[in-house]
Amino acid sequence: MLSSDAAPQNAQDGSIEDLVSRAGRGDEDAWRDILGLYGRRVFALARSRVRDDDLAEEITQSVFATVATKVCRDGYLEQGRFESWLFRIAANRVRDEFRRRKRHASPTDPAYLQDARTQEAASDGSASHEALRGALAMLNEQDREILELRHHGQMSFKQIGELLGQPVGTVLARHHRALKKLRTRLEASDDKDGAQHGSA
Amino acid sequence: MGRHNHDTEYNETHDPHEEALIRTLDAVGREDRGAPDEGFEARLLDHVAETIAPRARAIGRQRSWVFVLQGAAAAVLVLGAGALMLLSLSGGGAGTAGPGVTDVESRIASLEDDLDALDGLASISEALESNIAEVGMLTDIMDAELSMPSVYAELGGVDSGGEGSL
Repeated sequence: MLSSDAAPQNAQDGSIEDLVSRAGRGDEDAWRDILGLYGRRVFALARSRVRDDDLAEEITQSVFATVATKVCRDGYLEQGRFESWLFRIAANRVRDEFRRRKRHASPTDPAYLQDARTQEAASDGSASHEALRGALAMLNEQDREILELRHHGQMSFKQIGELLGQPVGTVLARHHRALKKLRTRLEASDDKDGAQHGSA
Repeated sequence: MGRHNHDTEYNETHDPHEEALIRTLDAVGREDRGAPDEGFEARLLDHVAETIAPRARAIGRQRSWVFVLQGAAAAVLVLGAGALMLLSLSGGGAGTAGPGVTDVESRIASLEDDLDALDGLASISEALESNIAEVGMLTDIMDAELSMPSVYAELGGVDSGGEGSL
């Protein structure tokens, strides 16, 4: 089982495929290893977007249910690219859920506000973390996704490229641009906070 | 930026602000990965086990049917052969060895035909169980995931989220 802050154990493609093969035959230890390697990374991807632990876990379970169904029914055809495939499923699921929630709750809904306050209170992150989460939320979906895949999902740029169907160079450039936008958002947020404190 | 140790070179930057931002992003990611409690992986494993359980149950049912039929066939063969051997021996004692042996052989041949028929039944039973398991699994999947549109994309190959356009 992975500890929460372990670096990704990007095993060699062969060993991952062996693990997936054993998982496909119903080997519980193989599933335990797969969930240990990827469970928290998928969870983090979902949590960053939905800001709700229970929902993030529900999404994670749903992702692995899909993976298990495909792997155990011989529908798994992504030999050599398991991680990209897994995170493509995860990214789609997170995106679907995020859109669904946006459709069903507006920022003025009491439920939405209560939810946001609960999450703020539940988060034990520092102020800088909260500021960064706020700035991430203001990015467009594409920029946000590439940062979350990289820093929450701990994917390599090569894997992100496989997931998005883009060359590594393009992914690097997009990551760099997304960082610049994030920084601009953070600085704008700092300026706004400073002005408010100054006028108080 | 050693966190992504598999392609560290890509993350090297000479901009201290960008480096600090990447460090903070990594820290936030780490915080999110550490958020679940210790039972998280066990719950995931339970969920996966429930997902693939219909297949395991179906295999178990298939095996039990086949074992029952095979057991019954073996019992019939052993009992029948024993009875015929006794009949043959008693016939031999009365000085009619020729017809007795022929009778035993024909009855054994008849039993073998019955066994072939039982084997046929076993394969039909397997096919039926397999089809039932397939339907059960499809129902489970549909029940569990109909609310998620991307499932259609993953199972059907339709691009619902347009990830390629990102």
